[in-house]
Amino acid sequence: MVGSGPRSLGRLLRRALPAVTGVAAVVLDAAPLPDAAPDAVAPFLLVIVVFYWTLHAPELMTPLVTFLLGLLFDALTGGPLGLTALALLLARGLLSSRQRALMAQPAAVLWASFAIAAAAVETMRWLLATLYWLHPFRLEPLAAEFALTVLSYPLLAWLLGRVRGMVPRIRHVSGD
Amino acid sequence: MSVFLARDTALRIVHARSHAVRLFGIIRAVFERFALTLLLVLSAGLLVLSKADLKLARSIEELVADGLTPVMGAIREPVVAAQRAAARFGQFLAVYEENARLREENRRLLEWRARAIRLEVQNRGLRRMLAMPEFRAAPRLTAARIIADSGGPFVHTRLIDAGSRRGVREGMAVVDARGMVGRVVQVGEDSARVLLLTDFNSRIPVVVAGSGDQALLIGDNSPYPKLRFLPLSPGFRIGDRVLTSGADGLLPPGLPIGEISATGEHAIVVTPYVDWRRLDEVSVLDYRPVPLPPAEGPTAGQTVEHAEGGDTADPVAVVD
Repeated sequence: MVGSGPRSLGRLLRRALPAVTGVAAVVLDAAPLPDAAPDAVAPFLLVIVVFYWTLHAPELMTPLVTFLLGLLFDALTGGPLGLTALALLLARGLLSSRQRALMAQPAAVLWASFAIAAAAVETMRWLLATLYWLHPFRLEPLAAEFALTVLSYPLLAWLLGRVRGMVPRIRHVSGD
Repeated sequence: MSVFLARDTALRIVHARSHAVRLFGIIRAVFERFALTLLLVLSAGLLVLSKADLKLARSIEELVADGLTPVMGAIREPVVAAQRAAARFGQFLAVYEENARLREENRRLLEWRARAIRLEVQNRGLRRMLAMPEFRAAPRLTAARIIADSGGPFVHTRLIDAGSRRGVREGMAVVDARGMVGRVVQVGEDSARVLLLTDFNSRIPVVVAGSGDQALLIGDNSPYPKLRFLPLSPGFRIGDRVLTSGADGLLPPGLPIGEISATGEHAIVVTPYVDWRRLDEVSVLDYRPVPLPPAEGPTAGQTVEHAEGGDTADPVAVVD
């Protein structure tokens, strides 16, 4: 049932890679931008990482991992706890039933699907933030962040593809 | 006999274990089946808790920020080093122009210095004549590095790597070399969150240096906060300096914030002095306002709690 020590530890660490890349994305998202105005926007890397692993390793990017990453993002960036987690989980809910169908699609279709998922996450964040603070936030910064995120997807997905080679394949579980 | 007893006990343990395993399996299956729904409900619940401003939500945020402070500090170093190297290269290319500009600036600053000394002497004399207490500039409590930003378009905050261990308290003013950056709104042990003066929640009582008009500086998530609640017939002009008035009893008076850069029908625009593009180190100011004389009756309005056994008052920040 349990393999030999170092081997099973190595396997465990490799299985933790999706979560680790998620934490790295949160840290990069929260890192201060060099040479930036206070209203500067940057790509929302966490949504790319969650989308990628939800498609390619849903048994490792479980709803619990998604929830914890969203919570970590909110705690580190000072947003209200639960806002990003809720937005990511809702997008995940939309995605999980289409996971198998999407896996068979070419990269361009995946990119377009990502744009739809990212739009859903950003819309949800905007709605929740507006309700939370009762403040009509401008849409332009959010649209800019969305555009940068979609543009960053191919590069980050390629990098995650390299990491994916190290992640062990296990039995298929729907994850939800 | 004892052999049978031991075997019986062992069998019971095995059964109990298999029951526990089965129960754990059932719980796990139920969780996996309903995980998404459960976690959605939990996220919404946390959001409500955050809104209710319960201590729990704040504690989680402080804990995570404190825990990740070393990581954020470490990843910031190469970025800052690269930025400084690029800036140094740029300066090298423009060294002659920069030198001429600095000479000119130095000449102007020397003039200002002479003027400041003259005014200080005059001010001291006038204060003595009026028996006014000495004006104390807020001392710098500590320097801190900015280690994280708000990572999104909704709030303008920065996380700094100094917290309650270094004496940082809620409500303290944060400045860079040029002017005010914001104020501390949340304090962990080794980190604190600063609400920038551009954030839509930021409200700072200010005074316009030229005219003496009192107003509130209100952020709107743009780089240019706006002046509101001015007197009915304000006397300010474009280019006037905007300083903190200290009217809230929490911020030191006279901190430079920016200057009035435009006036419109609905808003008076202030351009902050703070250099957002090189904002990687800031100072937290330790301001303890002079205690108010004991009031005769209960006073309405602001709440100031006095620190025990000190001659200074410890303000309790009420930051929205």
